[in-house]
Amino acid sequence: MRLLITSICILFLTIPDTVNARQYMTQKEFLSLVFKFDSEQNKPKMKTLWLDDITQQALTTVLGHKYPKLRIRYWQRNKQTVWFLDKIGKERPISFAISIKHDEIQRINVLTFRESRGYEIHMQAFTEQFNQLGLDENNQLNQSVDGITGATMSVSAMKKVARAALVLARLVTQ
Amino acid sequence: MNAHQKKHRKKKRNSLFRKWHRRIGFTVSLFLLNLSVTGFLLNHYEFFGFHHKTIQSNLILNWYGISAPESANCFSDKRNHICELDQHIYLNQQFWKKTDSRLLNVVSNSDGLVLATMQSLYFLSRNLDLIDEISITESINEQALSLSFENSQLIINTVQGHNFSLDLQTFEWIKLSSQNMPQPDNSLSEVTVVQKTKQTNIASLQSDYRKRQITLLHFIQDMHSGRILMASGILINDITAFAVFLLAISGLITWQRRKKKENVTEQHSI
Repeated sequence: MRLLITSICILFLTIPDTVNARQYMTQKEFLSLVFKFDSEQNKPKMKTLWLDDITQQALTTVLGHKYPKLRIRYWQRNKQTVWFLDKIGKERPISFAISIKHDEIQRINVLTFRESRGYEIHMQAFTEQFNQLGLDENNQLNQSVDGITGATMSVSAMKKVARAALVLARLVTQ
Repeated sequence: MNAHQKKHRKKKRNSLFRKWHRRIGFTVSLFLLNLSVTGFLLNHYEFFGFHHKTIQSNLILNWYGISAPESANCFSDKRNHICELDQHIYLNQQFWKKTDSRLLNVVSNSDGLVLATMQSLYFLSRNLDLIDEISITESINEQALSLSFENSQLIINTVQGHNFSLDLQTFEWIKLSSQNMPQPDNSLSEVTVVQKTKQTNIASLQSDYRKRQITLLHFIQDMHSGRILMASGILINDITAFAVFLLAISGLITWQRRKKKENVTEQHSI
């Protein structure tokens, strides 16, 4: 009995309070998935967008804070663009990949999840809700997205990132 | 035993039962108060912003056993002073960000600074604003060991002993062999490797480092679960839960007995 209690106590003391990052997909995998290229030659070229004051202001309105970089890299083929954006859910950044085609989300994926809770947002059943969503006149998503209990902040981060990507895509494709 | 003695013994037992019900109730109420207050705060942590605020009290940080690294990894040139304490980067004594791995070295060029960690490259403007961040491990599946600029080319040497050059136009990594390694050219005076320096006064950085380790949310969660007292706190919470269970049963029994007694008294009075 004493051994059992000691073992339980040791178990509680050694439970780590941090969870390692979970990588679900790499940038390369996402690019090949959405652009469907079979070789490096067919791969769309990477471009860079420098964030001027107007763009930063637009992103601040959507994200609720200034975007922490001066430059964003993106990939473009005709009217399709791919963005890799990070957003803090609760305490740590979540890496998202968003493909936009004709001002609508074609696909959104969680690449790396570093938070301790809310990993459910990477599930296909949830991410599929974003497909074909665009922006309304107030830069809000034009359809509602059902939340996940216990993942409120991660869901909120994903919605904001989706809106930010749509804003950026509109900027570079128009 | 006559009827009077039996009645007296029963009365005494009931009195003892109620006394212990009160005692347990009072003790448990202190823990329940903690649970209800911390539970309320956890329910509304977003509103209060507990996930962004960190514990500043040295007493609590000491309780958690939070200590800062004894030495810092510092680089200095005429304009900038960059220090790293356990992946926390400080630019000119100001906290900048927590990186994914330790800082290897810093290179200064005409655009600003390039910071290399084992897993990422950070491009900073001359005003020390982050321009861009590139993941090394994701691009080449290897960890960096050092960073250098040769003939305007940014080159990293990896743990596996390979050299890669980064094309700053396409952000593609090109694997270099000993034949196509660029030769050092000292005429490129705008590129300098920021020298590693000995840090003498890092007390303020150490203090800041400590104060960034525990968020208020983490602290409240530990208060709520009892983990603040480690295994004994969890045990206390378990005992409290069991005591609440006992109170619910003993309360029900007391209520039943009182109800029965009241019924008997009413029948006698009739």
